[in-house]
Amino acid sequence: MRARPGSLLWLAQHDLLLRWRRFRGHFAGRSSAGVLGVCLLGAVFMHGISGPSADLFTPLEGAAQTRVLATAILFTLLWQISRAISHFARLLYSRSDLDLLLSSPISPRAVVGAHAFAAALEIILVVGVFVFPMANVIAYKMGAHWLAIYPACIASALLASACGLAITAGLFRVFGPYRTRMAAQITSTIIASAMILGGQLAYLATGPTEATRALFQRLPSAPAFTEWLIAAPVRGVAGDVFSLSLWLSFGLLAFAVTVLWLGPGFLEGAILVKGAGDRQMAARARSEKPFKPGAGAALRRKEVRLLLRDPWLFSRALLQLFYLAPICFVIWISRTEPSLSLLVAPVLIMVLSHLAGILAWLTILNEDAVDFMATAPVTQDAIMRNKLYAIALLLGLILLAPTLALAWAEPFEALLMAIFAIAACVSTALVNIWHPAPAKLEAATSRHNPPKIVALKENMLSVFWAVACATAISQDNTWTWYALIAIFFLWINRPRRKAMA
Amino acid sequence: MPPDAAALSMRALCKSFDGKPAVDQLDLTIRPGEFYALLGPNGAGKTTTIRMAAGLLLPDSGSIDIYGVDVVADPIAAKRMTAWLPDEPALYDKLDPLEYLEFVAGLWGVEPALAMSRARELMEVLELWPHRHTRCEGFSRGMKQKVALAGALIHDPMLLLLDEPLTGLDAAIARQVKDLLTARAKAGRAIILTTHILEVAERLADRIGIIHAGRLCAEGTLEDLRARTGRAGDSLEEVFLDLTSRAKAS
Repeated sequence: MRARPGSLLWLAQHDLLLRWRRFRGHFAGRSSAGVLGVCLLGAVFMHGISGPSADLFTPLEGAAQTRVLATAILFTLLWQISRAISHFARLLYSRSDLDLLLSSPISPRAVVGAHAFAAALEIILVVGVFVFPMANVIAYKMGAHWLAIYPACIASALLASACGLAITAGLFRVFGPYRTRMAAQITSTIIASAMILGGQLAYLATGPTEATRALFQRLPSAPAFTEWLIAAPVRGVAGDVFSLSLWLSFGLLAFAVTVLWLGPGFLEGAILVKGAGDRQMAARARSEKPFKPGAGAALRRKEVRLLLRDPWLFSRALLQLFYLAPICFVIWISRTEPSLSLLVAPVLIMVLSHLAGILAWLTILNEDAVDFMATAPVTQDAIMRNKLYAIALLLGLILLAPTLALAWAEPFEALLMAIFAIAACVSTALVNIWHPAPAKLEAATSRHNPPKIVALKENMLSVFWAVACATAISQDNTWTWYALIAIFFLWINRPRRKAMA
Repeated sequence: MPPDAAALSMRALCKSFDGKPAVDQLDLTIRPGEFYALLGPNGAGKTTTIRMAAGLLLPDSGSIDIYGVDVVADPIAAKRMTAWLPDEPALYDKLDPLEYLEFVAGLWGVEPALAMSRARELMEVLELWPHRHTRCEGFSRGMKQKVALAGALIHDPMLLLLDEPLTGLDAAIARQVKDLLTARAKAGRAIILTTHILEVAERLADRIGIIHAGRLCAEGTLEDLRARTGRAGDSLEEVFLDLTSRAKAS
C-alpha cells in the first residue's frame, strides 16, 4: 500500500525503506528471506537467554516487584532518550535527503514528524530486541497480561522520541550550529551512562565493603511523590488497562505536541547547520607556534589531535570515565579495608581495554586521508607504530590516576593491576588492528560503529584479563590459566594473511 | 639521482581492473621543468596513470621511474620527490590548515623554520592565511582544495602529480594557482596535470598527451597536435575532439 505522496505516512515509508536497506547492507549477499531467518534465529537466542533473567523477576511480589519494574522502566526510558538524542543530532548534521525534502513543497512538520516517527520505531526495535523476548517469557510464566510490556514500550519510545527532539532543539538553541553535535553526544552519553551507573550503585548498595554498606544504610529513602510519578507506567506494564491507556496517551500526546511545536524550529536549525558548513568559523586568536620536526612526531601529534577532537570518542571516553567514578568512590571510602584492589582492578581493566579497542579502531581503521598517507615517504610500519604510540599515551594518562590511587593503599596489587591492564589494552588493540573493517562511504554516518564481531572478541579478552588479574591478586595460581587462555584466544585471532596494504 | 634522468618515465605500463584494461602499454616521458597536460575522455585511464605514478596503485606490468628511481622497487625514495593532489581533497577535518601543513611538512622532513615560512607564503598566495586557525570541517570544497594544494607544494616536490587541481576554485584563485604552477615549472619542477578544462591545458602546458582507452593516442605541443589533425589555428577543444573520435573509430 502506497500512502499519498507528501503525506507523513509516505515520508515515514520512505524513511523506513532506507533504514531497511541500510540494515540489509549488514547482511551482504543474503536474500530477504535469509535476513529474516537470521533475525528469527536471533530472536530464539534472545528468548533463550531471557529465561534466567525472567526467573529472577517471577518470584517477586508487591513492593519488590514495583521497585524492579520502576527501575526497569526508568532505565529503559533513559536508554531510549539517549538514542533519540543521537538520532536527532545525526539528523541535524547529516547531508542526506534533508536538503531535498526541505527544498520541496512538503510541510516541515510532516518532515520532522516522519523523522521522529522513524526515530521512535528505531528505538522500539533496538530496545525491543532485549525487552520483548523478556516480555514473552514473563507472559508465558506469569500470564498474558504481561504482554502489556509491548504497548508500554511503544509509549515510552514515543515519549523518548519527543524528549530527544526537545533536548536536541534545546541544545541547538544554547550551543548553536557549531557545538550542538558535541553537546548532544555528551548529553546522550551521560543519559546512557545513568543505566550503568545505576547498576553499579545497586551493586554498591549490597555492601561489597563495610564502608559502602554503612554509607547506603545512612541514605534516606526516596520521597513519596516518586511513587505517584511512576504509578501509571508500572501498573500499565503489569497489565492494568486504564494505566496503560493513560501511559500510551501521554506518550502520544508528548510526541504530537513536540513535533508540532518544535518541528519547524528544528528544521530551521538544520538549515542553519548546513549554511554554517559553507561559511567560515571565526578563527580563534592564537599565536603562531614554530613547526616541529620529524615524521614520527608529526604522525603522533596528528593522531593525538584528531583523537582529542573527535566528539564521538570524547563522549565514549567520557562514558568510560563515568564508569570509573563509582570505582574511584569505592577506593576513596574503602581505602583502609583489605582486598580493595580485588574490587576495583577487574572493572578498571575491562573499562580500559574497551577504550583501547575503540582508540585502535578509530585511529587505525578510520584514517581520513588513506590515499594521501599512501603517497607520503613513510612506511606503513612507521605509520602504525606512531598511531600505537598515540593510543598508548592517552591510555597511559587515563591509567595513571587510578593506579597511583590504588598504589597508595596496596602498592603490589596496583603494580599487578597496571601490568594486566597493559596486557588487556594491547590485546584489544591488536584484535582491532588485525581485523580491519574499513568504513564504507555509504556508512559515513555510522562510521563510528566498530564491527560487532570484533567488539565481541574485545569483550572476551577483557573478561579473561580481568579474571586473570583478580585471581593473581587473590594469590591464586590459576591466574596463569586465565592469562594463557587470553593469549591463546589472541593467537587464534592473529591475522592469517597480510590484512593491510 | 642521475643528472639527465627524466622527471617521470613510464614504460609499457599496464593496469587492469577485473580483467578490463585501464592503462594499456602506456609509454610516457616528462622532462624536468616541463608542464605536461594529460587529457582524455572520462574513463580513459588518466587518474589510474597518475595514481600509479604516486605509488597508490601497483602496475600489473611495465616500469615507472621518477628521476631515475623505480617507484615499485623504492617507493619511499620516489615519494620523497613527488606530491599528489587528487580531485577530491583528502584532508583531516579536525585539523586547521596550519596544523595540516605542519603535518605534511613533518612527513616529508622539511626543516621546521623553512616549512613555517613556506606555509605562510603559500597561505597568503592562496588567501588562506586569515583562516589558518579554522578547522577544515567548515570549509567549502574550493577552500579544501586550496589547503590540499598548499600541502602538495610545501615540500617543494620535484614532480607534481595533479588530478583535476582546479575543480571547485573560483576564477581569481584558479588564476593564482595557475601562476603558482607555472612558476614551479619555470623553477625546474616537473608537473603532470589532468584536466577537463581544455583552456587550462592550452594555456599552461608545454606538451599535451591525449589518452584513450588506456593508450596514449597523441602527444606533443599544441602545434604538433594541430599539425597532426590538419587543424591549424583551431582551439585545443577542436583538436582534442578530432583526435579522440579518431582513436574511438580505430
